[in-house]
Amino acid sequence: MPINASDFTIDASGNIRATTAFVPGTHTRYTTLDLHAWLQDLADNPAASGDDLVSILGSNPSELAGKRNASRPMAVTLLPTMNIDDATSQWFKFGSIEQQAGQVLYTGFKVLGTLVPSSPIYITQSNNKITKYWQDADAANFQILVKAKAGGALIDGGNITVFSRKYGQTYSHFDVNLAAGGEQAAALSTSIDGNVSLSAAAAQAVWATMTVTVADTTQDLGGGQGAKLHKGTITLNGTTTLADAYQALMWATSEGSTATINGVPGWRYRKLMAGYSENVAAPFGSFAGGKWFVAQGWWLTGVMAADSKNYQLISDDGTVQTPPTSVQVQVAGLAAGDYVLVARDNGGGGINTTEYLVTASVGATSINVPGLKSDTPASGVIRIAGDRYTYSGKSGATLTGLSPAIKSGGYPVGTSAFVPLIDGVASGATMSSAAFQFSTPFTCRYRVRNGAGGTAIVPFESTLSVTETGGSGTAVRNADE
Amino acid sequence: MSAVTLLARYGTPVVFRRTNELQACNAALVGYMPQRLPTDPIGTFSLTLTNIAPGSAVQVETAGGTSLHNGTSAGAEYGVLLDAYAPGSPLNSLRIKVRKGSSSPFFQPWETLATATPGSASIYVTQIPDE
Repeated sequence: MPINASDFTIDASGNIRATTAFVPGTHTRYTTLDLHAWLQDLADNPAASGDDLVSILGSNPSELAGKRNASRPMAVTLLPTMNIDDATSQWFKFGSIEQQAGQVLYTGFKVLGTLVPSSPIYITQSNNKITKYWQDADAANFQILVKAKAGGALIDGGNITVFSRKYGQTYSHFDVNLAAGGEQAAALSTSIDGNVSLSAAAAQAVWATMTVTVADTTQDLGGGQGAKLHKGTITLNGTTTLADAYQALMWATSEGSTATINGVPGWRYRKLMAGYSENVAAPFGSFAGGKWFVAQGWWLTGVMAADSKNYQLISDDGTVQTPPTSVQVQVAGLAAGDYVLVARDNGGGGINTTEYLVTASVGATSINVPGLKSDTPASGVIRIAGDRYTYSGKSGATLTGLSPAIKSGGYPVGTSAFVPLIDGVASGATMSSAAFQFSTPFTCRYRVRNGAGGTAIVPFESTLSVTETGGSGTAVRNADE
Repeated sequence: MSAVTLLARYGTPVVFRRTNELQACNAALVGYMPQRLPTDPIGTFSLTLTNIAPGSAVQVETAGGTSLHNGTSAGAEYGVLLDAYAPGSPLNSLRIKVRKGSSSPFFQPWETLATATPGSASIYVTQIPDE
């Protein structure tokens, strides 16, 4: 698009100035090639005229890196005293403009990707927002110039970050370096966030009930991953749903946020620690399927009981931590008086009676079980060399409250032991294990026997699978008389 | 003859700047040789620019920027007639500018330097396309 000469003036000192401030939506940006072509058009005039004082009497006003090509961003160098100012630079796009012997550089910048129409875009440079000289509607075809160098020094190393963070949409940002000139691109992607239902004001109100602090804390979520270091804590008030907390944090990191997180304005907060992977779409983690996948490093407290399983954490070392999943094993098809034994299958058609190797002293009421599995019930039965003991507590690898106490003679080192999930007499049609923390799927073998006169059955034995939803099996009681 | 005698015989002295003026004066003055000023040309310099893109603007100026000629080429050759001055005169130092930025085909601005001497010279213009 040829430049309308009335849009600019050029004085005898080479100052190219816009006659009016660029108004997004009203004015149309010229390409840098348009500027070069206009200057060259003026430069072969026999004499300067009007308010554009360029002619063949003066020096060549501009040059291109390469040949004119309207399909490519053009790198224009203004010569030797020709120059634009920041306001005038807002009139141009699609290329770069260098001037004052390389002391000043305006680099082209464009946005690629799929954006929600009119997604607001903002740019940070040296950790500050650049005052917008574009409009939201430009998102579909975002091309501007950004000042990258002044006084011979790159501004913030030539780096900028472009964001699109509109509350109600997923977020996006991209780092760009403008030092090379030409036109640099940022890839952004936004979409409507179906997990946002609160108004911005409501989300801000929820934010006010939350505390976000940055400090080391080592915590065990109880999901079997053990105690892990976290670098910050999000504290809810116990009555805030995770869905609302997610929205509050999305507001806190939105463009219009006034929140500060670890000393960083929420609108440019990206992650807790430099070495962590970013959650670009949601800086505090995404929400999907009713579950909050909390960003790395954050510990979460004050979660409502109803939400106790609706989140997962990532510790400082990258371990995914899940809330404990409590399951049970149940055997059905029983009759009162049936003896039921459910224990881990040994893979060879029997029960794994050598699950652990232990030693115990006579009279002891607790026993250390090396390698005790995390999915061991908190109370139940342990069989030591076949002898049955109940226990009432579990602490680490130690089972406590043994009853009866260890028998006379105790057990030597290396005595086989196992922990059945069910080991007792049924009182009804079903029998369940104590709840235990699911860790990984495994197979159980269950036996149902009853040899009492009048109710005797053929011994029944089968296997069942234990998954994150627990395990169940049904006995088939065939009379044995 | 001394200057005083000349003054007495011919009255107020006249400085003749041009050869033709000198030839037209009283024959009695023959022998009273005028001296050229440094800014007096000693002849003409016929400059021809060849291989120039038709439509190019041509500017010839002194090294100091004083415009001597300004025009537009119609064909591939463009002639300019200029004054030549005494050897060593800075007025002989010429800057020649050729530009074509108003209509396609566009060319990058081209410049060269030349020295005017009585006679003629041809300069081959090597404009580089700018599109």
